[in-house]
Amino acid sequence: MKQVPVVITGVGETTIGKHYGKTTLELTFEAAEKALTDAECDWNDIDGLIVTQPLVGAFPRHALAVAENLGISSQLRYAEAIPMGGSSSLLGLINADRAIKMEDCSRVLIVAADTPRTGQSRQESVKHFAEQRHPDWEQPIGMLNASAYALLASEYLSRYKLGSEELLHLPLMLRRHAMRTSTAAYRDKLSISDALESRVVSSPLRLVECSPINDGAGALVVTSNKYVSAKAVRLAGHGFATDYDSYVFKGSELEAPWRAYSEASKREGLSVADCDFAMIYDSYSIALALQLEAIGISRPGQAAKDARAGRFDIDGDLPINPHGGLLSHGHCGGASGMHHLVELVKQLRGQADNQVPIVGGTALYQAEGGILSANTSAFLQLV
Amino acid sequence: MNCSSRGHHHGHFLQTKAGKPSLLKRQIQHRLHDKTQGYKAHSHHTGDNMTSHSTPRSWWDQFRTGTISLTYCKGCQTEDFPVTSVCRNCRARDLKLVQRDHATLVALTTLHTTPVAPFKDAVPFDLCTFSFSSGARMTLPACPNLKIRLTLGTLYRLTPCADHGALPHHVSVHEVDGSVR
Repeated sequence: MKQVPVVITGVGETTIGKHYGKTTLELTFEAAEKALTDAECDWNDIDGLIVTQPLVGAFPRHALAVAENLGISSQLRYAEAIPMGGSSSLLGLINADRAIKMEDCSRVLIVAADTPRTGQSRQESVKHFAEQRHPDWEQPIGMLNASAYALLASEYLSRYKLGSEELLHLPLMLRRHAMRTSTAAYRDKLSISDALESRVVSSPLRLVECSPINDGAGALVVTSNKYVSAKAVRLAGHGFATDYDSYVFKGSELEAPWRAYSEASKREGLSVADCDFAMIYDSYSIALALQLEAIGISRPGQAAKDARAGRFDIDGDLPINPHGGLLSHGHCGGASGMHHLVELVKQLRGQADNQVPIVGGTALYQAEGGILSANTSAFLQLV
Repeated sequence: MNCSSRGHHHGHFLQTKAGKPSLLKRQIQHRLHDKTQGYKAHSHHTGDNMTSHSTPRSWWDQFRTGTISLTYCKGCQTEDFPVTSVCRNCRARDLKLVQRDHATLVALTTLHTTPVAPFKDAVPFDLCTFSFSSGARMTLPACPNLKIRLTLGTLYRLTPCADHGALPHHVSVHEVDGSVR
């Protein structure tokens, strides 16, 4: 394969929250248009389209439906929708990188949009996720996504002899970030006593440990670097790994996040030590803790302790999710994970609200979809 | 086998007030229908606590008749769960269900809210993950009428319960010496 350097040249995002009266397709258009403007290119330049699968407003062949609504169908040489939950956006970037390197296309638009906050009730969103649980072994017992993560949390807290309040320090850390981020949906101060008063959803997890569903969209423009201006960001190694799809098939150990990270690391010899900050998919407090520990950022059982000590704050030794993460910036249903990527690019360019000091110009994004099922890891770097 | 006094009419909780039942409701309804109607024609015990079927249908049928089982592969002597028709370890197809009812509680959550029928009428209820000596794991709801406090790390004997209430399938747990904790 001919190695054509591939870079992100444009990012765009809508606000996160309630978009009354707007459809998922409208948010798709808004985020895409901003990304194209940022990339200093036009709709006519796009010959590849990758989308994530939304909870609200999904079409059976979603990428093709989005393309026809954006008026770019006939110019596309590549289109796909990725239904891999929280890993979808990062997998979209990886697939765009491949498509351009294989010269299938020259400029790929990646868009993630969804409207579960106003497009349906919160209960419908929970039901939607429940219908994704295993039909033979999880749906018949009433398993929810929150319950699957709660079972992971129960075993984790028991293994390390930690109290149920321990994991609350992760959402508290993320709220400190969100309070300094204008696009974050949840910016009110959150204290440990507030968190302890938060209702239990599925013990030991409280509401503040479960990411809140919102409307929103984000987009990237990816291209070969012959079109590049300044401040482009490139993929500097990626990896994917899975051990199971459904929680009930999980074994006693969680290894796939580490395998994905190791694969990403060995591509160009980068590690967390080379990073100015890291974006970690944080659908639940326990998801963040388990990934931080699986990839070696925290020692086993120590992730929440590290958060409490300020290690992941903006002036800590490795800031995590400086936009506030899914837990405070907001979780946009089938679009979740894209805002981690948009924030990562903005941080590397020095354009973020809660700006991290950029020294080496490298960052890690560790994503997961399902119940830590689809694990994807990537290093991204300023060109 | 039933551990509570809930009614035995197995369809009432799946009825909707209006419109088509949700996908989840239809799947549960289909599964319950199969277990109460069609599966019985295919189900047979060998008398030595093993059956010749290793499918989700057979497993749930076993559960309804009071047996908790794992998949046993004659090829690699591995016991596994969830049940599959091909061994996940060696890809052999010579699998059987084998009764195993002693397992350690390794994870526990109490679900306080759910919009999903019929479970929304059962909250709060406990979901338990048990680990068997072979390393196989199984997650099931605990009996809502359990008089004991579930404790992580404790070895239990599991007894299936298949009530037709808001919590269609669950397990009662007992200490290994036979006394309910």
